[in-house]
Amino acid sequence: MLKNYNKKPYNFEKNHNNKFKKKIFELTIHHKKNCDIYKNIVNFLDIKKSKYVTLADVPFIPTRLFKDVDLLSVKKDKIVKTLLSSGTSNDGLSRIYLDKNNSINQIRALSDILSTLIGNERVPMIIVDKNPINNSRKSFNARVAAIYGFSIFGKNIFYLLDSNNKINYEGLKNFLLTNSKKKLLIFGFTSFIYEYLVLKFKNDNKKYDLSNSIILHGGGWKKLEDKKVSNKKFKNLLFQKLKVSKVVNYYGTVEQTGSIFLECEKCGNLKTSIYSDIIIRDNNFKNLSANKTGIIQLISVLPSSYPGHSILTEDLGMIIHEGNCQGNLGGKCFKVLGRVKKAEIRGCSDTGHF
Amino acid sequence: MIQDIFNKPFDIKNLKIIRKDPFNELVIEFLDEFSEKLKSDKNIYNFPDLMYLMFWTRKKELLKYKNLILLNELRVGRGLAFHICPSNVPTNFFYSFIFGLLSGNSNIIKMPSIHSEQKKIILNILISLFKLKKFKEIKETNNFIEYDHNLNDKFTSEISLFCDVRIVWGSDQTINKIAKLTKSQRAIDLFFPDRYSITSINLCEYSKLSENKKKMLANRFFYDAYSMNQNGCNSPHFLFWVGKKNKKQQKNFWDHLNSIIEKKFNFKDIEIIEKYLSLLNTIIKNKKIEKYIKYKNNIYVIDASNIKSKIEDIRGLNGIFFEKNILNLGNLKNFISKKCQTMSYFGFHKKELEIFVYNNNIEGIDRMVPIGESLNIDLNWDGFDVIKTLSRIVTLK
Repeated sequence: MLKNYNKKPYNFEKNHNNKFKKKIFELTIHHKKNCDIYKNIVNFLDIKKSKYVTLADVPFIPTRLFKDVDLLSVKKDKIVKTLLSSGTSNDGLSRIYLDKNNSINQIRALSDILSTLIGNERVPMIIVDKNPINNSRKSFNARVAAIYGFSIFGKNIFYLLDSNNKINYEGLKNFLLTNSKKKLLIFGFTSFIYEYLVLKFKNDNKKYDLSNSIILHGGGWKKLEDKKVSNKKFKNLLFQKLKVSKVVNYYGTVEQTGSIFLECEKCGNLKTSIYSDIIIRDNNFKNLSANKTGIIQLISVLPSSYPGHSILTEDLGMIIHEGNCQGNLGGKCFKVLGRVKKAEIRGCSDTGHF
Repeated sequence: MIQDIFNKPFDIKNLKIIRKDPFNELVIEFLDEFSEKLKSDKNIYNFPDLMYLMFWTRKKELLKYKNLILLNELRVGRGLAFHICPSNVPTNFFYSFIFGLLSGNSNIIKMPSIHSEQKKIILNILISLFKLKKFKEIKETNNFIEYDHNLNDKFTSEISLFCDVRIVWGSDQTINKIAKLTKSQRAIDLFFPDRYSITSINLCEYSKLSENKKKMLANRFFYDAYSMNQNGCNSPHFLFWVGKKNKKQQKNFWDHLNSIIEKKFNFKDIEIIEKYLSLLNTIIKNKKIEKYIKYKNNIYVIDASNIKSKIEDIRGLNGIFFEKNILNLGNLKNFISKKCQTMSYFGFHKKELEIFVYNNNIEGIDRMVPIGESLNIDLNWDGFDVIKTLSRIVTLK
C-alpha cells in the first residue's frame, strides 16, 4: 500500500497531520471492507457518527482482542507470516497476520527508522541474549520476536550469551577483532543490557572498548525502576563500563511492528515518526492533551493485512511535546510510564455503604 | 510443602476430625467473638461486605437461623469438609468455612491465593482467636491453606479420598476436575458451579416512585452490580423491564445510576480496558446485538430486544447491562436456564413471584430478593439447605 519510502522518517511535511489522518481513515474503510469482525465492531461503535473528522474519532481495538479472535483483512492463503505476542499458549497469544505487502512495508519502515541510527548499510550486531534457535517453541516471547525482527539489520550477528546464559567473552573478543574499526549495533532488552553489560560484565582492565557502538534497547524499564536506576544513570553506567556513548531506547508492540518509537536525542523521550502517532486516553476514552497521564493508543499507517492501525495498549503514558521539540519537529515526543496495573479483586469495598 | 496460615506445614495424616451437633454452643461463641473483633476493627467501615459479615456472625443472627431451620432429628456433622474457594468474592472463603462449621464439621479451607484486604483482616482475627484456650478445639480441627491446585493435583486427590464432604465454588472447569477425582463412598459433594443473575423491575411501579426513591433504588442496584466487577454468581447482567415499554422511565433509571457512579465510583484503568474488551467480544459473539447506550465508560446499556432466548452466556463486566422489555413476568420463562441463580426485583408482591415460580416450570432461579440484597449470603444457597446437606441424621428410636 505504501509505494514510496521516505528514507527520512522524521521529516514531517507541513500538512503531514492531514495526510496521515486521511490515510488512517482510508485504512479504516479498507479494514471494514475486508474484515467482517472489524466491520461489525466499527458499525456497532459508530452508530451515531456519520463521518470521522479528527484522528481521535477513529475507533481503536484493545490489543487483547488479537488474542481472543483472528483478525485479518486478507484471505488466509495470502498470509506469509504470523507474529505472536509474549506469553504461553495457555494464556492466549496475540496473533498478527501479515501478507507479503504488509511484511515488506513493516521491514521498510523499520529500516528507515533504524537507518537514522546506523546508516543505510547493515552493520555487525551484538545481541545481548542467547541464540533463540535453541528455544523451545512452546513459549513465545517478545524478546525472541524482537530479536528476529531486528536481526535482519545485522551483517554478522554475535549472541553474547551462551545457552546457559553465561557471557561468552572469547566469542566477543573474536567478534570485536573481526569487526574492529566498524560501527557496531548492540541490541537487547533493557533489563538484559543492565544485567549483563552493566552488572555481570567484567571489564576491569578496560580490555573491551565499545565506544564505536550504539546500544539499542527496549522492553520496559520496570526492573530498572525497581532497582532505582534511571535512564540517565543507566547511560552513565554503560559509558563507565564500556565507553558506549550512544544508548537509544525504543518502544514498540507486536501489534504494530515496524513503526517503532526511538528515543529522541534532544529531549530523551520517545518520538513518533511519519509512520505512527500516539493519542493518550483517560478512563472515559477522552483524548488528553500533553502532560496528562492516560492509556496509550497507537496509530500506524503500516497495518494493511490486519486491522491493527488503531490500537489501545495496556501501557500508560504522557505526551510531552506536540510538534515543537527540536529533536522531532512536527512530530510528538512522549513518555511510557509502565503497564496498566493488573486487576485486583474489588469486592464490595469500592461501592460504599447503601 | 503446603503450609497453613500459621506457616505451619500441613499434614493430612495428623488431622484431627470432630463431628459435632449443628449450631453447637462453642461454634456460636466462636463466631460471635469473631463478630466482636470485626466490629472493633475501624477498617471494616470501608468494606460493606465485612460489615455484613460482622452482622451475620453475631450470636443473635445465628440463633435466629438455628430456630428457623428446626432440626428435629439427632444430627452431627459429616466429618471433614474440604472446601475449594473462589477468587472472585473476597469473603466467600469465610462463608464457606461458616457453612462447614455451623453444620458441625471439621474443615480444610483452600483459600484463593489472590490478595484482598478483606482476606487479610479475616485471617488476622482468626489467628488471634486461635490463640485463645477456649477455642483450642476449633483451632485443632480446622485448617486454612493455600496452594495451586493445578500444580498440586496429588494433594487434591489425596484429600478427596479422605474427606467426607467436598465443597467446590466454581469454575465449571474446576468442578469438573474435582468431580473426576475419586471420593470415599460415603462422602458427598456440594458444588456451586458458574451461575449468573438477573434483575426484574415492574416498570409501572417504578414510574410511580418519587425521584428520591428512584435514586435510592438505583443506589441499591449499584451496590449489587458494581461490587465484584459484576463477576459474582449473584451479580446482575440482564435487566428485564416488566410491563408496557416506557423509554423515558427506563432512561431515568440509567440516568440515576450514572449520577451515582459519577459521584461514588472510580474505575481502575484495567477495568475500563477489560470492560471495553468484553463489549467487543460480546458484539462479536452475538450478531443479534445492534445497539447500545453509552454513559461514557460508566455504563454500557445494551439493547437486547433481539435476543429471544438463552441468555446464560451473555455476560457483562464492570458495568455492562443487557436491557429487555417483557410484558409480564411469565415471559421470563424463555430466558431462565439452570445457570440462573438470583433474580433481584422491584415492584412485585411475593405472591406474584410465587405464582410465577409455580406456573412456569422454570429451570433456574434459586433466590428472589429485593434489589440491593443480591449479594447477601444465606444458609439456603443455590437451592440447597446447607446445614441439612452438610450434616447427617442419626436415627434414634
